[in-house]
Amino acid sequence: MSGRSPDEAVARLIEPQQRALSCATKAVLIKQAVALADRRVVNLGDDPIPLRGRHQLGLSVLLSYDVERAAGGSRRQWSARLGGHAFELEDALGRTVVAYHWHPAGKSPVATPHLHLGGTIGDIDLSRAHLPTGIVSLPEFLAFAIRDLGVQPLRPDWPEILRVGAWGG
Amino acid sequence: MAATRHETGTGNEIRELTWEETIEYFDTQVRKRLGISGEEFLQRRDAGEYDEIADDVFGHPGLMYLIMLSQSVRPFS
Repeated sequence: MSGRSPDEAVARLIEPQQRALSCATKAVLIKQAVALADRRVVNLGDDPIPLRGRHQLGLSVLLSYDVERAAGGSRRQWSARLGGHAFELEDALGRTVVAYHWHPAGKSPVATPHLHLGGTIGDIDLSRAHLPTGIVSLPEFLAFAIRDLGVQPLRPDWPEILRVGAWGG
Repeated sequence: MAATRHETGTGNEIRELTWEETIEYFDTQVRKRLGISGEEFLQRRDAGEYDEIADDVFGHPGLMYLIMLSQSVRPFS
């Protein structure tokens, strides 16, 4: 997402994420102050946030993003793009249900986007596996939670807002 | 502790923390999840204590989340 200032570029990137969240929770993203010039973080404050629905799931969301001056002579001189995510759901007992991670920074041996899924298939324990995914957008993740996990949507226009592929960096 | 969550009618409001609030928020989250201070967490992170277990979300739930959040208060060494 581009903008004429860093703040404008960030707003264009983050505000759609907040709009997507409003489909499932009234909690809001908080933008952490900047410690690094090129890596920033927004997340749901005080998470996991309880979601309405039959499974009493708790939601945690964290997005990391980069802001940089765009190349070329474009009028929009700043760009903001996502550089990592953690979307997690836990059950009423605090046990992780699913965790979609992408953390290219740091020391994890798996720097590409992946899914953590508990349980076993046959005699294969998946609990320490990193199931490869593409980059999963927050709207896609929330649509999955509503459609497949029984999370109660908070607004009637959620299918339009969570239109898969409409958001991202 | 600064408020970190508020209700929104439009779905578009985003709260921005000051640097002091960011530090305090991080410390609170670490204490809530791990029972140690934010500074102790950062020291352990930088010493590599979490390298082998950080991505074990079922054995150590929330740890990777905190590591990702920690980027906001101190770069990875």
